[in-house]
Amino acid sequence: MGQSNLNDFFKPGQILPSHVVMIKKALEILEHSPHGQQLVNFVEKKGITIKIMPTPQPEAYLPEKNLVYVGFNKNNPVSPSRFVLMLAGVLREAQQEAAGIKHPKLHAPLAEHVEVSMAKHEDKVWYICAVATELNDQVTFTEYKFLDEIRKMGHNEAIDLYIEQERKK
Amino acid sequence: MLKKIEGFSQTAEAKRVMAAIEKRANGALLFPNPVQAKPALQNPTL
Repeated sequence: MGQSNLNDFFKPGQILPSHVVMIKKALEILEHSPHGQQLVNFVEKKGITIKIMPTPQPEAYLPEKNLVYVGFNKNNPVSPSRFVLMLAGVLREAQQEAAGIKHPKLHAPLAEHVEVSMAKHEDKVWYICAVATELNDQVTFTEYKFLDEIRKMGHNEAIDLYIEQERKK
Repeated sequence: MLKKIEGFSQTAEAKRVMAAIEKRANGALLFPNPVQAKPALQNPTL
């Protein structure tokens, strides 16, 4: 198994590695990015459990504050880079929860839902953009094409705005 | 603590997310809060 290389495992039609291996390799890749490293530290410090489950479409969610799920269709698995970015996003959501930034209660006023949930989403997207650009800048991960993948995930405008914002700093 | 992306609120993604949030929130409001909807007992001692 090559260092930090999930690509050999995620080809359609191939047998997927064990969940443990996939998660371990994804966390290893995240460690190469400063913001990803923060997430890995958070996982270790808080004892976050990461699970993989079969879902029709790629999705990641946080059923409990210390439990995250990454789901995809095993007959057509997500690319390694998407798996890493999905994991980064849902771990950031777990960080938000740990910091007490929670989704409003179901019957909270609409304005509260909009304000809080949008802010949480924007923060998560910011974090995925940060991880994607940091990993994309590294020669080791050229073949992962993190920036192409983040665009395919629907964050096309966000990544452009993020890069522009960081350029101004 | 939450990070911001300048101009994000104007993106198509933000509009999609906003629509989903509103749909979810409005859907929840269609149903009475089960705690509030519970009828008060006329005579709690019975």
